[in-house]
Amino acid sequence: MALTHEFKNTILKVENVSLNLGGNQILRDVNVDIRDVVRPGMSQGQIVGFLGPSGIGKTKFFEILAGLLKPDSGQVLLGDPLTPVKVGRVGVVQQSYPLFSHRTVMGNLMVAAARKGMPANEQKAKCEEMLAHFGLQGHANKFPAELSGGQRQRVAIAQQLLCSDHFLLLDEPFSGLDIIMIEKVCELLRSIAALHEHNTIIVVSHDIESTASIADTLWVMGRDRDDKGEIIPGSRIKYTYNLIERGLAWQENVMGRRDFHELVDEVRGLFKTL
Amino acid sequence: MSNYLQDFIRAFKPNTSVSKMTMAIIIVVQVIIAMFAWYSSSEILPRPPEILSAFSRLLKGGDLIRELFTSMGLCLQAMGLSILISLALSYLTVLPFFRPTAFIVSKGRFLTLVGLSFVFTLLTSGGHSLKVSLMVFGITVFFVTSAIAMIQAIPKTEFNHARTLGMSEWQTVWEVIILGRLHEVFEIIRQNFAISWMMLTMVEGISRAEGGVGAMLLNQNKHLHLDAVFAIQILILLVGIGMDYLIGVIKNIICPYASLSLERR
Repeated sequence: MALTHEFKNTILKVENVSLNLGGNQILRDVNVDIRDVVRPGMSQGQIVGFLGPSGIGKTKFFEILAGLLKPDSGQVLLGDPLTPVKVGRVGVVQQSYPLFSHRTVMGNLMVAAARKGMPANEQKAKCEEMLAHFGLQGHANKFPAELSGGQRQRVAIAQQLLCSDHFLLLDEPFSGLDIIMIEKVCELLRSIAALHEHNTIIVVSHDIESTASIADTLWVMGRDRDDKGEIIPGSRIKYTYNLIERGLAWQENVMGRRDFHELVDEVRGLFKTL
Repeated sequence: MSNYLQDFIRAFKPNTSVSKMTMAIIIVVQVIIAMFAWYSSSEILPRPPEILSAFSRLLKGGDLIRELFTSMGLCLQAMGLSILISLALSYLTVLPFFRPTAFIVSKGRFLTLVGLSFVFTLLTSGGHSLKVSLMVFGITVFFVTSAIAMIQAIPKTEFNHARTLGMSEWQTVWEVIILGRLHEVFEIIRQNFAISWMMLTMVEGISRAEGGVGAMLLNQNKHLHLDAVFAIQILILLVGIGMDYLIGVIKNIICPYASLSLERR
């Protein structure tokens, strides 16, 4: 059953984005429109998932969304009002969770807080608040090399949240994690989305089940085929799933539901044709 | 006893470590083997007691310590200048304008110092500046090569990480290259200190006016005092190892994070 909600302004728009690298068409006319979801009486950010099999160009699309890579044509607009994306405006958590290895956890967060332009006296308090929120209080003075993969990911997310503008982009956040850790990451991302009405989390992944369990919208990337069944180079958005309308968004224990598994099987079936 | 034996057997398995005690035993055994090889080699080579006696002689009458300090002063001055020049040149390779200069300097390592000594003699005003110039040239060409390789090996994700935090390109250079690779710079300094220490005796041989252990070594060589030559060589070796250890200690103090993820600490 779909919960009461309303789609407001567009807060992220991808317009006709195409990318060609070394003569290979990677992306072709990618169009996406992400709108602010409003739920009466509560703070509800958005979580959207971009799914696609490996090698489909997700990471390049991720870099374009982050402003790290300029497409050959088209543009990415974000915010309210919409303005072209610039690097640094979107929080970006790359697959390897890079951190400054020469700085402690606190040092990494302080750098991000300073970048946001916070007054010096507020920076430490904000960083400590982040450490508490992410369960990292005991690790403030550790270096990244002393952290586990999950802790490292949390520090990377906290660092990006400190200096980004409500947008958080994650590349394969479930990759290499065990089932317990995946559940924790899902819970963490839900909690971040609920922190602010405009928080928008964009997950780029090939993990259908985990992404679908937290997303309110899924965008499936893939390549078209010609009449002979040959692949036409260049990925685009081929399918969109509104999980709110399907009653699968914002649900506790959604992974135990039959209709959720039917959706996952449906997308998995699509993957074989992409 | 069986634990020691098992630990010793582990010393022959790849990517393992042994206890400190076992390592100490291994070192003692290897030193004994080396001493045995030394004693059983040609009689032309001086034996340890002769070397010790020569060492004592050099200490008492040969100004060994003063010459050692002269050499160390020269080496440290040349190292300091080389580090400044090399790092500046290497960091500037982030600007395309400076890349050709840095790459040409790096290729200078295929030149020989002996061939350049005449040119440097004409360019410099005295023995000391000649030696410093030769040393700085000799170190810089290797230092720049290593530093450029270090910068080029930094993965794109690290630069992108800094950019996603809203850092400008110069801030990215500061955070990712200068601060982020400081521990690797210490390693390059270690390697190049060894190169400079090796070059020192040759350079001091080119201009002997100020003395130094290099000049002292050549004098002893000329008079076929092999025991003294060995004594000086061993002193050079020990001082070199000591300096190398000291640089490692400074690195661990300034960059405590550097060895955290290493298998063999």
